[in-house]
Amino acid sequence: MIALLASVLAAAGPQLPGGGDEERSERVVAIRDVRILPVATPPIESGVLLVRGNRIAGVGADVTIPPDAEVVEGAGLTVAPGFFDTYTGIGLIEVAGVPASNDSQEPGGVTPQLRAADAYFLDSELIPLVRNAGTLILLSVPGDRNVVAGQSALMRTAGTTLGAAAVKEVAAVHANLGEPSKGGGFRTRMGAVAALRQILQEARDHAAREDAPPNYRLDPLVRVLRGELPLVVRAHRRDDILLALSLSDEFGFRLVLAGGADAPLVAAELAARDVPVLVQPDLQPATMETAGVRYDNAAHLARAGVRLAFQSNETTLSRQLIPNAGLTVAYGLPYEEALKAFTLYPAQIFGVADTLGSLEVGKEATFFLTRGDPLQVRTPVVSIYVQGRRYEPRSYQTRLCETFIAPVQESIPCLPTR
Amino acid sequence: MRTKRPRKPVRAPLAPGVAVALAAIFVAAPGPGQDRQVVIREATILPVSAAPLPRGSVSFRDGIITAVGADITAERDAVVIDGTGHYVLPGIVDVHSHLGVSPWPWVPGNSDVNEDGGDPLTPHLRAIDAFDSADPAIRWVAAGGVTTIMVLPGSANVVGGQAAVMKLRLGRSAAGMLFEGAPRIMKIAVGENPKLTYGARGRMPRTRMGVIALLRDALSQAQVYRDRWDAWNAAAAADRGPAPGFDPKLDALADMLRGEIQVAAHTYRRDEFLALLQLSDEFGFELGSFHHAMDAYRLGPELARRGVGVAVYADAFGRKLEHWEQVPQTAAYLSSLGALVTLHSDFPFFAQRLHIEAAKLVRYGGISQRDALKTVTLSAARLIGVDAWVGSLEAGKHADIAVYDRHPFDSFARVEKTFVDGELVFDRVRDRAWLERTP
Repeated sequence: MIALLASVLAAAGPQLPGGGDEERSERVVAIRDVRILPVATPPIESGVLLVRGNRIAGVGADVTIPPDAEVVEGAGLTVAPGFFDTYTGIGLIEVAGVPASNDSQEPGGVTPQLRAADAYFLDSELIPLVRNAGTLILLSVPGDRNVVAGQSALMRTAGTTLGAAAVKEVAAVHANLGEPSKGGGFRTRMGAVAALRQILQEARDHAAREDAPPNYRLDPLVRVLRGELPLVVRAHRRDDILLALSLSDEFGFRLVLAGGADAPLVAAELAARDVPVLVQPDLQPATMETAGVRYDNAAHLARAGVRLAFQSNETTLSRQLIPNAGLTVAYGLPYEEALKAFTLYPAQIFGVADTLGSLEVGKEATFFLTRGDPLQVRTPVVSIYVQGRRYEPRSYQTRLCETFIAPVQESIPCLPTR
Repeated sequence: MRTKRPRKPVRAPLAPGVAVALAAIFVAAPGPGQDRQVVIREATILPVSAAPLPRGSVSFRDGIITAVGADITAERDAVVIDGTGHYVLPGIVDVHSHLGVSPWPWVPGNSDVNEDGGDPLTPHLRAIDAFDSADPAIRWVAAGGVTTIMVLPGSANVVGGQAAVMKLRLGRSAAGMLFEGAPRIMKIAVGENPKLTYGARGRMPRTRMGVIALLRDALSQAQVYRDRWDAWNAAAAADRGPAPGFDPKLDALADMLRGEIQVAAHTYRRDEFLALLQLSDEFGFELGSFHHAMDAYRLGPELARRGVGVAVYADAFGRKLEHWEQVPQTAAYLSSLGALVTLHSDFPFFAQRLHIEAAKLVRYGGISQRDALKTVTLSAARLIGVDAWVGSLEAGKHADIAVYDRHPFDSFARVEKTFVDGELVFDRVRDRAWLERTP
């Protein structure tokens, strides 16, 4: 069976994107006369981005184009590293209202053993949609109603096997404080936190045993306590955030805060401990625990020195993350910081900055081309590269448009015009 | 076929004297005085009904726009606002809102949007009766440049009740926010929401057949009721027997059949559009608009021909099976066919960002900026029957105006000022304390 699969994969050849560090055909592509946003270094108004295989082989104004390179004209276009969405249900939720296609939420309250990678729907129609919006890496997170939700997967938005698509099959363990966690078998914050503390203690005891047998529930938390994985804690209210900080002190894990409606109130504390925040730009003061959120949250946090990454906290609306993030710039977040919150900072937070998060020689060729500023809602994404493979911005919506609209009205574009 | 749009009124709904009296109640907030001329100058004017003016002015007085042009002379005591670098456009109109009936915070005690306790037919309910004018989201939405909304009951019931068209006159009661002269509109909902709400309880409707059957049954009863009352009213007093019995539900549906209430239908699928069009032909009610209308692109020419308004999201979709097959070209496509098309919010966040929603039509549908802006202003006003008064910057229309610090389609744009009836309901500088409300 494995041999058969291997021969199928080999026969499929360039149809399948390569995985991880696997060497693929050394196709050389040079995108020239393109505006480059390397992120880690200042913008280059007109330069060359050279790709060899699945890696970046050159970035700059004076890169020599090898004779065997396939040349792509980049005049009028801008290239940016693949954006991250650091909190989505994509892969676990297809049509939310159809239980058969919703694998997000288990009952149980404390479910560290759940792995998003085990249920990740590689053929989700939502994946091309967010890819076409510039989100080339996403964190697929189990549903938030359990105080310990499980393990998220950091996925590229392309690839037909888990190995090819995954950046990290396990990227973090997730805990949820506040309102949603009261739905997962607990009635109060006290109950949810008691259960969280209990399982962290069990994991600590388990880690201390020299003869500890494998334990599918505790082992992911042992990795958290050893600092191998961050614990992403979803919390909004000031007291919930402070509780996450004190648990981090008590158990010594690497904390990443998700949400953080009240985070500006403890910004100095977050900055001093280098606790990053996964910011949802469209968060509204609509619930009790988010009543304090403001559009200038991101600006306040950045000013205090907190590292930020953007998250949609969505599935079907995840492609709206980029236009929504415009709000943070409108409300004072420096443009460069917003760009980093989509790229370099999430790559650092999830420990993949050696391969992703900026356009640098040796990093993965995962980037997208736009006609205009990638942070502007009106800017079309015209072309996408994931690990060196090029993707047209097509989706099932393109097919619907071509079937129903194009025959009636030619003037309506079903694809962005290059 | 019945006429689809309410008739335009021959005069503004507020006599000047009334406007001044209302203004006297509502001048608590500092801002341009109602009785003085206000001139916004040196701004880019986007009137919607006319081409943009790169350097122009808008003036208003007593809540009514007095001039829009390249050069307007300010009177000696005028309040002059320097609009340099700013963009001035008509206040955004949101045709699908639940502000006030589903107020923040979203906790069960606050939810008054779905009366789904037992009867899927509740035409006698009125959104205005549950509208909480102190909903904090109203101010938030006004800070997004929105000036007029249609508040609808939810979609759990097949007939949900009567909508309320409201002006965002902050600080006023529900009655004080009603848009004078706006038509009466009935919310109908078909498809998954009613059938899942009632089907889960083992009750009808559990299927789309049941949804339409309930409607047809209720409308048949309403026909009989209407005929009885119309005959009684038409008869000479001496010949009248006792008055027919009053039934609040049938009474509201009878008004619908008389054309005094038009229908706004929550519907996603093509087969539902066709079923509702057929019902409208059969019973003669005025089918004003399809809301959400995800599949409208599958029936474009027919919808344009029938003159039914269509309200959609720009690119939101997918919570349920019936709104999975969305395409972001829908609004641009329908607009190109001459259909009446608008973008709607359903939620406060989208309401506050309708200008960005409109920008998506330029990106995905390739239509002009002016046509895109029209979908959240003039077309939206037309869909809810108030385009004689709002939706564009024209002399004689209400001074409902939004001022942005950048082009409204710029992702980094913010609203600086929002005027409703000439009253400054939001000002980014004046309202700093509210914007920075965290202690």
